[in-house]
Amino acid sequence: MAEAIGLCCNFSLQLVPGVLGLLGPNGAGKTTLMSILATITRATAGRVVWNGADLAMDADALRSTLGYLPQDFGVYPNLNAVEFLEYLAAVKGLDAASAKNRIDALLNLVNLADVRKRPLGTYSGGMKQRIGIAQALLNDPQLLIVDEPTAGLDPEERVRFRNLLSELSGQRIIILSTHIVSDVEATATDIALISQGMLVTHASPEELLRRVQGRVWEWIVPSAELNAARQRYLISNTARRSDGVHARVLCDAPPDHAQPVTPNLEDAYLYCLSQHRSVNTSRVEAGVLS
Amino acid sequence: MSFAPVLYHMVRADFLERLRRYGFLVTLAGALWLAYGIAAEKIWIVVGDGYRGVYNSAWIGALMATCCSTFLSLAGFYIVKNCVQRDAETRVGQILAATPMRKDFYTWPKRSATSPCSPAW
Repeated sequence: MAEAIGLCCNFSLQLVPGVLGLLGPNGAGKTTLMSILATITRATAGRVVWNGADLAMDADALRSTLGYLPQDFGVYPNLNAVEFLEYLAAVKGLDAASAKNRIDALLNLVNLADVRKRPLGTYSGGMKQRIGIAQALLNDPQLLIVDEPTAGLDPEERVRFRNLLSELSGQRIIILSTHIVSDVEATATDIALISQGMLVTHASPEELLRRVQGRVWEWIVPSAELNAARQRYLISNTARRSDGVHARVLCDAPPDHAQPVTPNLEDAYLYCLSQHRSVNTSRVEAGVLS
Repeated sequence: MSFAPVLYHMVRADFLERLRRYGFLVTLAGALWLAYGIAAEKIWIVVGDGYRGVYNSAWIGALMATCCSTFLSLAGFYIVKNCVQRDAETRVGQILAATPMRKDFYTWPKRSATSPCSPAW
């Protein structure tokens, strides 16, 4: 299976089964992209194609096999979990018997079986998020789009959800949109970085890490000089220790006494974004971009 | 996708959601209190210049007709009007928009969902 996805923000992606981590800063266009892919928003230009069907003409070609968890979704506060999921199972076209089995299985999967009869309005944010995950999986989707799914989950549930995504990814496409790099690091088989509505890069996690190999350094800076260091270098992380601030510096030419360290995905993410911004700035200055 | 299960579940969800709201219970309690007050002759309905109806089928029927037409045409309308608006406000609409449900499948049950509520008013 191969699906080509083209977008109005001047990039194209072709997706295969696995987890695509869609990373980008706030306002990069992730949610807009998710909304277009989920057939909720229509693209003003370009094409979104699913198994050969243009979704602008035939959105139902995707909708019957789509699971969608929006970033900012809601529930009916006076229904309980079973009633809410029964309702959504019906509108997704599941028959009553298979819906019942599926709902039981999903409530166990998301650890809400004990509170299945409680009104959703009494659920915590994390519990509502888990109901959202359950509804997205009701129709056993071929394409699962999850937008910031771990927001509001406690660490244990976050790990559980990451494991769930990894298990589900075998024969289906999962698009995981987030700005939490650790979520992507744990689950993604492919990563697309977007910024300002443009695709910065689309690569495997290993490829992204290779790009930043030899460019990450740990540098011990006195606290008083940290701000000056931030002006000169791209710093991905800092940790205060007794001997000063240990800063992770991303650069080609390291500061004096800096030690090379193994890069992680957060380093690669920041490095790619800074490269993209500097290229864009150069183009604007050269008059290529307006 | 067949229409009947969608109709049933949408009407059911809408009805249960509405039924369990505090506003519904308060209105129902108010209606019961009024009914009790009238039946126990603690409240009198006076028409015009001091005329009271005799509690027979004609008077009860006329009262019911007046109440239903008032509630359904005015207050009832404001109570049941927000079926679609509620999906926007609760943000369930985003999930529904990504399902294969057709637009008429969506609007028909929403319209029907108001019917089971009507007798309660």
